[in-house]
Amino acid sequence: MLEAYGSAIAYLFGNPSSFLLIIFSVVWGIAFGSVPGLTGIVGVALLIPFTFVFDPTAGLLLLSGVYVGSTFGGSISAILFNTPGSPEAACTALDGYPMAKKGQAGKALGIALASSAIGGIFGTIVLMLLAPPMAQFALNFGPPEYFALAVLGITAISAIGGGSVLKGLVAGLLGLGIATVGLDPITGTERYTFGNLSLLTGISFVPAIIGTFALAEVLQRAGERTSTADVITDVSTKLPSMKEFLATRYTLLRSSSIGAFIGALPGVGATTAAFISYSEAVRWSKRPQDFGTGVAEGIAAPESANNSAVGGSMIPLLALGIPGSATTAVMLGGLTIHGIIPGPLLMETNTQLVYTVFIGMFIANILMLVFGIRAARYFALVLKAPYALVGPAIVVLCMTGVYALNSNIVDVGVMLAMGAFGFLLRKLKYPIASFVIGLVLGPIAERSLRQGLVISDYDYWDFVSRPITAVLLIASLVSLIYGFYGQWKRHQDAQAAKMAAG
Amino acid sequence: MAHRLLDLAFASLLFGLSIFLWFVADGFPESRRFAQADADFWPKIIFATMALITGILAIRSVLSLRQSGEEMAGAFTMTADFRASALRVCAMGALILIYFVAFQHLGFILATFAFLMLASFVIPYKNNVTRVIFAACFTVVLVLFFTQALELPLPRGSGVFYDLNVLFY
Repeated sequence: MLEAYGSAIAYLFGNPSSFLLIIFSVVWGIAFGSVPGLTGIVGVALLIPFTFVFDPTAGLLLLSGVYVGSTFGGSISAILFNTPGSPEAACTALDGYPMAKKGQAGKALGIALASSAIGGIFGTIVLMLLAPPMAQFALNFGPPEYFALAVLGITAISAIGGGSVLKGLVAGLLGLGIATVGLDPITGTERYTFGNLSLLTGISFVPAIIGTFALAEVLQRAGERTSTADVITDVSTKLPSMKEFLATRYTLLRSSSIGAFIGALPGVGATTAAFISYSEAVRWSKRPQDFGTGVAEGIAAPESANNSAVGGSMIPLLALGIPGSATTAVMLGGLTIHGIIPGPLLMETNTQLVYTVFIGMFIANILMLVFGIRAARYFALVLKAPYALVGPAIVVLCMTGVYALNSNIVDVGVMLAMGAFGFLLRKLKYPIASFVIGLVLGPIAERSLRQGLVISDYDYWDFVSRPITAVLLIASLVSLIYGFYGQWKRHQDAQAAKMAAG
Repeated sequence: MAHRLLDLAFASLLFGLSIFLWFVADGFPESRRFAQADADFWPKIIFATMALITGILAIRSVLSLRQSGEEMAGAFTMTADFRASALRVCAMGALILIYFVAFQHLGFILATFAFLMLASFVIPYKNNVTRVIFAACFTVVLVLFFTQALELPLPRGSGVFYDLNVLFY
């Protein structure tokens, strides 16, 4: 392992441009994370075509830096104008905005920044420690285990998203269905091409995700009344003093641990980690009644958890080849265009890439702290940029980036179609994350299921009764039951509130 | 109320589509070797499950509509805000489609500059000077970035536009 780290450090110092890439990606990530609606996923998706000109290691460094930066970036708009830039920062607004309204915006940003960096570094250390043994363990996985993991990924993200579980499942199935277009991976039969030769290779993943996230977002924002008037831009970040820092040390440790653990579960992710950490911070606090009025722990808990979840969510991606969140699903697309297939063998065949990314993420978290202190006021200015200029510019970046991938106009057509489809799904409240996870996991799930059945001589009981497969399938079932129960409980609470009001 | 109707329409559409795609899968050529898990095996599982769930969603939407039958009267009444919002989305969608066509025929520079200018009118914004300067600068920066820094090709259009674009990249 030490040899692998040595090789990774040699790569980074042998390619000083890598540091520039990390700096650029962190800044890009913070900027995208800070603008409500753009989110880190759009930031990652838009950069994928540009990674094509770099080697795979540099490409993945770029994408992971954006992921790190955007997770913190979301807190800037959450604190400054009560609108989280990304879903994972929603919880930060609960105490961040009240603190900013008290005239302590700089302090709130400082707590968010320091907590994000600590959580991010903690998550990266967990990733460094856990990914290699997990990949080693995953070498025992056969097709049935991979199928069960894919099922868990789709059911967990559908069930825990917070909306309708049935709609989440339909979105996941739509992704799985679209992934079947093209040649059958086992028999080579044409499927759903309807005579169109350009569909033989299937629906290209990168144009599909750029359309679904970035283009659909522009269409959505075009229909909204956007106001940039209420943004507080005159701020300078003040990092917490040692006394303030020590006062939140247990919150930081607890939330970072929760974040890394939850992030590593397929389909759960940073948003859930932030909310659970916040509720745990309230539960453990001596003054729980102060939460929501602008207390430091109320910012430190969600921020350290959501950044720690970034490292955690990279564990299933790198060790198992299964994306744990929508952002890592998009990153998987970025890896595949370089011909890299994440999974247990990646740790053995591409050690330099994996360990360079570990170190790169570590550096990205430190750089985030360095840049965040000085640049928060400039990132706040991003919020003032008129969407009349930003929106069309994103469309141009989407079109140009997708076209540049293969110089293929059909890819641009796919992106436009998926953009319209993504917009429709958003409007009707079908979760996009489930759709993308379905699109990514479709080929893995199908191949694993059919190979597993062939190996087990079409004995379904033999297929599902393997210990790891059984555990994963039961976990899928439990997550669905939990999702339905949560939905039922929310419905009951809403009915009770309605009765009480009327 | 209108969103419930849309929900019903979309769930019904997906229900019909799932059944149609299930039958399309049923018509895939068969392979003797993999007869028990052939090319149609996985798509059939997906679309049968999707038909089942979208069927449930459609029935739930119908029941929900019936429960609030008296509210149906105003279901198709659009507020001024909603109309303006829908108009902006349609205008942006139409402009993106026109940009897609112009991208191939006029080439990158003209199509992008025109798109950036026109699309900035869809979302309310008053500063016309910034609008023009931004459109011009952004186009130039992208052309330089793609053709010089990344050395990736950009579309040159056709006919006279091709000749024009060749002068720049």
